[in-house]
Amino acid sequence: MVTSPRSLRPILLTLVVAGLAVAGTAGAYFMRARRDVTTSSEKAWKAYHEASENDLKMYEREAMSGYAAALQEDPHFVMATLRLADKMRGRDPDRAKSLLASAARYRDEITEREKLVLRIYEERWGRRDMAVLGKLFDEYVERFPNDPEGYRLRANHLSNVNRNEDAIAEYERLLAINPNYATAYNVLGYYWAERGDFAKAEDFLKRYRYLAPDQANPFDSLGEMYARIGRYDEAEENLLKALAIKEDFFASYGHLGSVELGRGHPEKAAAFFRKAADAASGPWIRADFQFLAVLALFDAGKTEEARKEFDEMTAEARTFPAGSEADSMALNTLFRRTVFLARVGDAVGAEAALEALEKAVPTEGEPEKMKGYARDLRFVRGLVAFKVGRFAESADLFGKVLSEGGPSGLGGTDYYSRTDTARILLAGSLSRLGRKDEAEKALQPVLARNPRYQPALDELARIHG
Amino acid sequence: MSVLSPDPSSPEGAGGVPGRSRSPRPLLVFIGVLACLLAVLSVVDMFMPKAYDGVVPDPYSTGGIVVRDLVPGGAAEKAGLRTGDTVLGIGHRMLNKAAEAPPELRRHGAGEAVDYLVSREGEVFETKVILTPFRLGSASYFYFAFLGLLFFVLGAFVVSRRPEDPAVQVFYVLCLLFMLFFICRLRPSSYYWIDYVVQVAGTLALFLLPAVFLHFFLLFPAKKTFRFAERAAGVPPSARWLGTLQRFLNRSPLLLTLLYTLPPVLYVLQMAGAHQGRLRRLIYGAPTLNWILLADYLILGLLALAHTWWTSEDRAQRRPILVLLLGTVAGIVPFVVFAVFFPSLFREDRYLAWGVVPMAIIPLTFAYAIVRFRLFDVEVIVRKSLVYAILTAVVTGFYALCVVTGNALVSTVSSSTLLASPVFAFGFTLVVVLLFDPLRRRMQRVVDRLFFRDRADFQHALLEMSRSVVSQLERPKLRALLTSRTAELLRLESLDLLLPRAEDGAFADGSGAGAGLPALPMGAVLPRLVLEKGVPVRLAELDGWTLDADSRAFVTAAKRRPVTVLLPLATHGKLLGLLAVGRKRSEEELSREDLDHLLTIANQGALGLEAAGLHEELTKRAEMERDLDIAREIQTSLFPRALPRVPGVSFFGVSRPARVVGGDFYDFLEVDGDVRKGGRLGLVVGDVSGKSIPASLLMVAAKEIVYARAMADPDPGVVFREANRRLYDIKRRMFVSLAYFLFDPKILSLTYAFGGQPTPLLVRAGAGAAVEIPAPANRLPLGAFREVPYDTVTFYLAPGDLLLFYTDGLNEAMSAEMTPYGDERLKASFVRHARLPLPELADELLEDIRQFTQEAEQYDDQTFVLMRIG
Repeated sequence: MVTSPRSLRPILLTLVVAGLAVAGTAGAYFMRARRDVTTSSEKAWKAYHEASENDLKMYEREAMSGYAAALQEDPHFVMATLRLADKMRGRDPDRAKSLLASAARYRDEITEREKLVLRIYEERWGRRDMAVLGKLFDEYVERFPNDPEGYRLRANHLSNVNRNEDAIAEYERLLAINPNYATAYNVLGYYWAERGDFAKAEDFLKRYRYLAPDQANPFDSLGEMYARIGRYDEAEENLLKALAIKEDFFASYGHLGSVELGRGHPEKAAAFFRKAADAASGPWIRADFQFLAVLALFDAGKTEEARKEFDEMTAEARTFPAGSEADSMALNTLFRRTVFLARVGDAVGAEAALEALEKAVPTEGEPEKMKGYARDLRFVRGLVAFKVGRFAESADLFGKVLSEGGPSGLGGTDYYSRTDTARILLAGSLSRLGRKDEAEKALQPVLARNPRYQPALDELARIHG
Repeated sequence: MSVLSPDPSSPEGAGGVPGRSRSPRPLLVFIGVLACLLAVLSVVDMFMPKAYDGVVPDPYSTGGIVVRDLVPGGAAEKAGLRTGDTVLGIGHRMLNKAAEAPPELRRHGAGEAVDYLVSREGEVFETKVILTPFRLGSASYFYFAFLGLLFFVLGAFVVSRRPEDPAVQVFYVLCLLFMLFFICRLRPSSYYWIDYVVQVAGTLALFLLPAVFLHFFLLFPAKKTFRFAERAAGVPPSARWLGTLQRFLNRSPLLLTLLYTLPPVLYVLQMAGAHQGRLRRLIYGAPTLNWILLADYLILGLLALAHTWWTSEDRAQRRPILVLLLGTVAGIVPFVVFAVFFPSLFREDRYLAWGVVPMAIIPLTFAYAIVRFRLFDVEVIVRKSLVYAILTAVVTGFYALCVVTGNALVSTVSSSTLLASPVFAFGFTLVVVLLFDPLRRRMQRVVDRLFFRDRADFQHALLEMSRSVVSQLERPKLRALLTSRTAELLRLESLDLLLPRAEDGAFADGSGAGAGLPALPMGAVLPRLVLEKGVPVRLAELDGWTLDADSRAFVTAAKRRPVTVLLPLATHGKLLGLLAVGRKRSEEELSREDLDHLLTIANQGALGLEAAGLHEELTKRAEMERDLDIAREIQTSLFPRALPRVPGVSFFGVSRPARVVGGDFYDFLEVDGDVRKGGRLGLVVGDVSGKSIPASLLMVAAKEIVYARAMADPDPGVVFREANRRLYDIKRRMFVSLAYFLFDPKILSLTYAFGGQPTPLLVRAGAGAAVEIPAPANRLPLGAFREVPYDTVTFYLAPGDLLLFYTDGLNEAMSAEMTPYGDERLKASFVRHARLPLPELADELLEDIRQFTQEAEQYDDQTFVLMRIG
């Protein structure tokens, strides 16, 4: 033991204690766990890590193949199994369920955090009891307060139960923990864009783009937002950058189509929608873009080409394998046929299709889903009424469609804005009824948001003769 | 003992450092080296070029980095950033606060274009900032580093001189902490790993500094003792808890532990509170409460110093403490106001520099106190040439500043072309040249007064003492000058002067102050060796010398005293004494200058001792001369002024003293009336042992006693018996040889008694030989014994008789070969010259003796009386 002058002992004592504290903190920092998932393979962990990154970038294909590669390296890799199941759920529900069951077999070999994630997946795909799910998310955040994933999962859950403001608060908490969690900014950007606060949306989306300049989606999101408010050049610039980063990023083609629609170039829009359809990662999305191309072609006066496109789309829909997905696709096709016939001007055919559609739409199911069907039906009815010249009816129906509107969830993508279309059709109906002031007023929200939205400007011009 | 040094004799000492504890030097050196490494690391980091964006952030902003300022011409300014902008991200990473910027900037190099995400008035945009190489060390940081260095130099210097002093140890640590605080804490972030290391060191320094500051002023200049619970007699005792508190403050080691642990504990508690969202504000990385505690400690430290000054009764002590108090207050108060209270209370830290800059006064004050008042008993020799060179540089700088300021002012207020004129430049230079020297001289006087007055006073005192040593002729005063005064001037613990003892010549301290130092016998080796060396001899050097037992015993005792150096006091190769020099009170080694001073004093002392010896001898001689003069006067008064006139009888008396004063005498007295009318005549011949005033006085006394008794009873035996008793009582061991002859001219009888005197010689008319007259039975000298039965003898004379009454100086006169003249030679001479007239006879008698003794010294008086009948 070193003897020291008595006068220096208190100083030395304090220094020793402080030194131990610093050393302890440093030790704890360097000794902390570097991995948060259970796997026996370094390659599997790397593949999983890469796939997660792609997941956050919304590179669906790459994410899926990454998770699959991780599983190939380590078949017992529970988190990779769960993530892959999540991705497969929309495409192959049976395969997804099988993967979930496979992951559950290794329940005893995984960490507490992974066990909790497993329970969440089981509940989401099993009983789907929102109260139980809510408690599981709460438990996750409480036990792992520094894991941003917990906040993201809870935010998604809150959004699913229509607690959108709570969901946004959850994202803000997430960013307080990790200000570099890029996709949170994307969500916040969409949220505020949906609520009409485009300045805020732009702020968040720019942060998103700043954090992920190597990804296509941030440029795409910002381009989409600019397209919605008529800043077409900036929109086009960002969307082209997104495609430069990832040339098969279908959403950007779709948004370029929206830009051209807004500019009043429906034929160009149709071309982009076609490209989007070609690049789409799944049949549902492809079908959506095909139909958008059909509508754009109609707008461009290319009826024949539109018909051809429509036929191609319906032919592909028929190839869907039998099952719940095929039924949904068939219902979707029926909706689109009704719209198509109305746009062609086939009043009888449209009326018949509408009748068939009304019969095909399910009357029981999840309330939110039922509300959606009702709204879609009302829109299609309004369109048919407008095309057959029943303007009072169409005005009434579009008025109802718009009154039911409002922000939907955390916001989403709408390449051919149904709300804007409903307003233009309402204005058209009202003007034809001689209620020009009301017609003009109906267009105001659209033009207030995007004074360069050509279809609305065309309608306004028509109203003023 | 210095006015500012703790009293080591105090039972508790200043800091209570146990005497047996190991040397603290290694620990102190370790701490110092560690602190220096950290400081150097910080300074190198600050002045090493790095990739920098030129953004001066608001350290308190969150949700991004608010740009408080931009470095002019810096990367951010070139990229278009403005003050008030908020940097949201650097290098595609979002930032919440300024502290998160370092890792991001660290990933990039100078010249690299880095994407910044910036928010300005609600609009978010990206911009590319091309990072530039930049040295973070600004002028203000340079000043902080300089200030830290100043503290370090001061602390290291003091501790190198007094490493054992507890107050100095704490002062040293205080200086190191100040250095770390300035260099490692008051620095901008460097975006480098060094930041973490030095900032942690700076934070630790911040925690320790106030406690050490207070600790130091509780120890300095002596351990502070609290007495608030004590009451004077008759006053009711104070509350018990006050007594307990007083004991705690004075004795408990927990006090310091509490002082030291409070700041870190407070910090930890606050940071724990911060996790729960309760921490409101950090000032330069430390919670407000810590800064307030720092200010409290600093103020308490100042109060402790003020209390010391207030209660000190020693004027010499009050002055340096007052200087320190004023300097520390001038340094600390602005710091507390601008660097602590402003940020804490008003959330305003723009004036931080105003609080830090004056802190330079603290080390400067301490340095001044060391130079001026020998603070901590540390003596510093400041070379005048150096100070004057600095002074000249300062004055030059001042003039340069005046020129620059003057030009700036004139160019601001006037657009005149005067400035452009060479006449102006010439005139200005002329003014500067004219004013330069007077100002420099004036300032030099001030500097002399501030720095060198004490030094000059010291030199002057030394010179005065040297002069006094030479001119001082009294040994006790000379000893005091050589020991006490010299020790006081040179601040020595002891200084002993060893002088040869009268009885055996051994060198010993006759004052009694040098207890423990044995006497060094004259023949011992050590004095001779010291004399041969002729320079100061360190005691440690003697270990290698071969010494005799006495010298070894002396050296052992001297080391115990302790003596460090021996100096010879010698003149003309003769050792007059030894100076045994003790340690310096400051525990420093004796410097070369000290030894030079001591050698000078020793040389002067030797001269002084020699002069004192000569002076003593001369004084003795003068005293003797004076005594002899007096004795001579007395003796002269004893001889008769004129020879008696007795019809038919002639007398002649002679007395030749051996030295200046003789002990012999003769006289005549008329015992019973005028001798010419038939009265008897008394003749007294005497000889007193010793040749001095006492002998003369005894002779006077003997004569007077004999005269008095002779008047009452003329019988010589009776007179002698009485006189013997009186003389015995007056003076022991001093005898009087006396012969008393009573001559009756009517019947030519001679009645007499002797006391130690030779028997007179008689030459009868026509006789060819000298005979002794009949001698009494008892002839002992007077005063030898109390009772002596002196008897009286009567002898009848005849016409033509020649008598010689004499003292033993005649017959016992010695030749060069120490052969006595003898009775026979005297008798022969007496007979040979008996026919001569009495004066000539007397001369011849003396001449014969002189012929016999030749050049030999006369050892005794030669006195005789010649008497011739008819």
